[in-house]
Amino acid sequence: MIMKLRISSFFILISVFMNAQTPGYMGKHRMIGYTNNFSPALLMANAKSVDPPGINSSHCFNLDYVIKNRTSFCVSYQFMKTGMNFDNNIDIEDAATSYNLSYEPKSKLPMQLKSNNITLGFKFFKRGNFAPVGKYKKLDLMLMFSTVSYEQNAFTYHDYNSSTQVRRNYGKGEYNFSTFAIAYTLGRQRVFFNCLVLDYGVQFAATPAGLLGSVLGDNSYYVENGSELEAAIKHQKNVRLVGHQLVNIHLGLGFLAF
Amino acid sequence: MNIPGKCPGYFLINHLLMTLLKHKNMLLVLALSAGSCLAQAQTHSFEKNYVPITSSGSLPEEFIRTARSVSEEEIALLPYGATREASKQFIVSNNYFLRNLLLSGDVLINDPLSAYVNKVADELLKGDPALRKQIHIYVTRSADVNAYAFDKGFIFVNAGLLAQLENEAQLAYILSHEIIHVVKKHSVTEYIENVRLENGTGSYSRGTSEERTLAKYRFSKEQESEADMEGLNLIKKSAYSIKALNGAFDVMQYSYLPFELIDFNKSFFEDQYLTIPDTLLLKKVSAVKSNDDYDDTKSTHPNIRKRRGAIEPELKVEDESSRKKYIVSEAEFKNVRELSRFELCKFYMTERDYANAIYAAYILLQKYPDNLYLKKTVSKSLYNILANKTRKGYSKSTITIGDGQMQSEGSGVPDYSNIEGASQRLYYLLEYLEPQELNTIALSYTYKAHKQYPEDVTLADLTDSLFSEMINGNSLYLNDFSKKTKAEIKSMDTVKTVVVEEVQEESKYSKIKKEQLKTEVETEDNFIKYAFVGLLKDPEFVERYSKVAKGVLQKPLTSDDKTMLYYTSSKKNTGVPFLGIDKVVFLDPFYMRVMNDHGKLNVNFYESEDNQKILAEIQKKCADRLKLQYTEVSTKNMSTSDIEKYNDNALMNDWLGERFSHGDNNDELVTNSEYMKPLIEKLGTKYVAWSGIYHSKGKAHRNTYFFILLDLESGKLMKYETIYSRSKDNRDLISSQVYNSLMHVVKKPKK
Repeated sequence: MIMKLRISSFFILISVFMNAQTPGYMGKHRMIGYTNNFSPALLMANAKSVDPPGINSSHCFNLDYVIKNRTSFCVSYQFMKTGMNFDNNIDIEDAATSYNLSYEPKSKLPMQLKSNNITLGFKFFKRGNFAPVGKYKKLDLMLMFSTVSYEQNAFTYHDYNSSTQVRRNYGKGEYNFSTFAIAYTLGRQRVFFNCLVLDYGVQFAATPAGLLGSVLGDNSYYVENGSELEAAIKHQKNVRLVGHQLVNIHLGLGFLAF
Repeated sequence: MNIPGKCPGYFLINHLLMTLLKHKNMLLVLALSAGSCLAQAQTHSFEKNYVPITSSGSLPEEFIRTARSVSEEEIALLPYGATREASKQFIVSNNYFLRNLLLSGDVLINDPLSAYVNKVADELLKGDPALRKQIHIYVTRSADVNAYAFDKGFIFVNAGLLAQLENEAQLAYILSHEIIHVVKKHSVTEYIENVRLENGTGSYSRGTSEERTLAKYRFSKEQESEADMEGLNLIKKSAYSIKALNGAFDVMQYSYLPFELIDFNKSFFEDQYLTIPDTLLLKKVSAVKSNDDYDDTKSTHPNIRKRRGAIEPELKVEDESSRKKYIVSEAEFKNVRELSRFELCKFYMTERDYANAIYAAYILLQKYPDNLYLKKTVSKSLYNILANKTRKGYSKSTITIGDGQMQSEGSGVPDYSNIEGASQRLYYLLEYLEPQELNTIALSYTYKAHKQYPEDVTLADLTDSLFSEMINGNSLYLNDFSKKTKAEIKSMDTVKTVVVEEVQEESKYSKIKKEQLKTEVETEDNFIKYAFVGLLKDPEFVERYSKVAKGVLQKPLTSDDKTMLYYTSSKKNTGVPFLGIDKVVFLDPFYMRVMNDHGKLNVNFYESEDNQKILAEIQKKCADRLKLQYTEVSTKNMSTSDIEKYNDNALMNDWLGERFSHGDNNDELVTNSEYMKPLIEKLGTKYVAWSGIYHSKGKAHRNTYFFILLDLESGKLMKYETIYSRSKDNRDLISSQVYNSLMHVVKKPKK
């Protein structure tokens, strides 16, 4: 919350103190907007089903401020929600431990991954255009505050060595994580009626933690207790975020305020 | 009756593109329908002064209608058939270009020139009143020796042609030639033929590109020959002299020469004290050696010899005695020709042909030695030649817009070796005068003219500018000029003077001074040292010169200059400075949309016209939002009573045309500026803005926006901006670009 306040304050300070020597659109430098980001879930779960394919959509509220002829400073708040697969399968030949832990909730819904993201970035408009009109490239730093929630008693433990199958209760039912991502957007903005802004484009984002964790990290987690489950969920969450943020198509509408 | 190598009386679309970009200062034509000519024949007095011709009366209907409305009306009447599509294209492009020409301001309305030309046409078509009704003849303000016809009866005769004619019969023949072009619909026929040729259809389905091009020229030449012959038949039906017509071909053949050939005498610039050395006088001028049998393979017109040869046998008529060189009036013809020659002085200056302007004024000053207009022509031209000589860095400056360029090239004095005939001496002199010498001559000439006409503001300003140039451009101070003549110095015992003033024994320095004095008196090289012996006796001359030397008369730095200095000296600021201007006059914007089909450009005329209106609206909207006072000189929505609006636009276009030819050179004088003062007062601002868009769509969209802001008083280029983008010319994009330009105009510079 403190972080959000600081970011908001920073944005307001920039707006107030920057001398508007840039044209903006007909003298308007500030834009408030809403965009919906559509992210295809081709291989992973979505919020309603573990079975792909599906589409996740997220809501994004933007504030843009034109700081140079072809540059806008952007702050946005994004709320996203998706589903997350969980399947912890440890099957090592000749090992003492060989089991499968699966998540089988009554609701049939996958683990719910919700994330509140704060984004800071800059839009760089193409030569010959003046912000906020025309084709742009956007570079963002995305701070992601995620929550994974699940049904505590929905885990089934299957021990291969003893061939036993037990229903188990694990963890707190909800875990919070934070991470960051770097996003690159190719988009275009058009202005209609001197105040409405149509914004569309495609975004590519990468969460370093997810990418590095899944490629370089140890993907085997022994889940015997709650804290081990948390680590496993964190890993899964990172992987899911990579999938979710990889490609986004957005369509939005903005209002040129003043 | 085009001169060799000129375009025929219509313009292909591709040609149009460049023409429109280059010719904001396009044409001047006088539109007079047969029965609506209100102008009366007037005999001008040229003795004291001359005021350039302007339009008067009511605007003819064709000036008011949009190209689109005319085109749609004509297309609706087109018959269906194989040529319908090409005819449609022709109508649209023809009307678009015609509209631009008519509204360029270069067309004179209800003035003595057009009145006279129309009277000749009346005489010529006396027996065919129906045809006469269809023909609209306009005189255009251009120095080119040319006349051309458009479809639907529009004939344009340049004032440059009128200035060269020998008699009325020649004008009648030229008109009859153009009338045949109209009657035979040569414009549209040639257009359709060219479309076939370019598409390789019909008889052009075979053959190489070179063969097709030659076929195109052949077709055009056939039309010209037909117009020559049929035109002769037309004139035979009238009472005009047939024998006089041969001279019409002389006019064309020698059209590159001045309207008269009079030996240039250097005494024109000399007085009792200012003597130009003979070394600057070309001993022998090149003979006039125009070749009338040039290769016309790639020309739209047959060469002059062929044309003359073709009609010569037909010139023999039995009843020549009953025929006349003048039917309307010899006095009126001569008056019109003289008016055209006076106009030429202005046209030449506008076109930066300063040597020609001086020579034209020189010829006319032989007849009217006290004419203020002619003296100002000489002074202004000398000043601009000097401005170019002094600042060689500006010898080439360019403003680029899309594919077009506004370019300033060279000093305005062509190489004398390319000149033939008597005017060559003047070219030689102007070429070889050093800047200091030219400055001295220009100052001497202008100051004397100023003394003769002390109330003329232009001459007073020019004198000050030339004083300033002496000090700041050429480092010539009062003490560089002798107060005594060479003869006086020679007669003095200089040795004695020096010795008495200095010491008993002759020093090294006195010896040097004595030697220098001796050399100076004996040589002709330093003729400028003695140029002001007479003028230095005039206290006003000395006082004004001294004031400039002390910096009193030098132009103080304006706030604009300071802003410019700030921006050029500041490393951080690379953008355009803010100008803090609160009122600007806007001209009709330029808009052209073209389709680029593998390098072949097709103008979308309708969209261009529509978008021009949109751009004007955007300008107004942005100006309002920025609280920039908006005023316009526009030809939009004119009515028949808007002749004042029309003249304002003509004046502005004349000025802009000349200014654009200077490129980004702010030092050259816009010679038309003196006519702008009343307009500046009327508009309440001295700043004029012109903007435009050139959009082409091929594989990609390419958009070029430009904005130019000029100071009408000083001719200074205040702001010049082009923005290129690979995007559609959407309204929001254009709005952003226009707003950005105007924001820089309005915002006050940082302290």
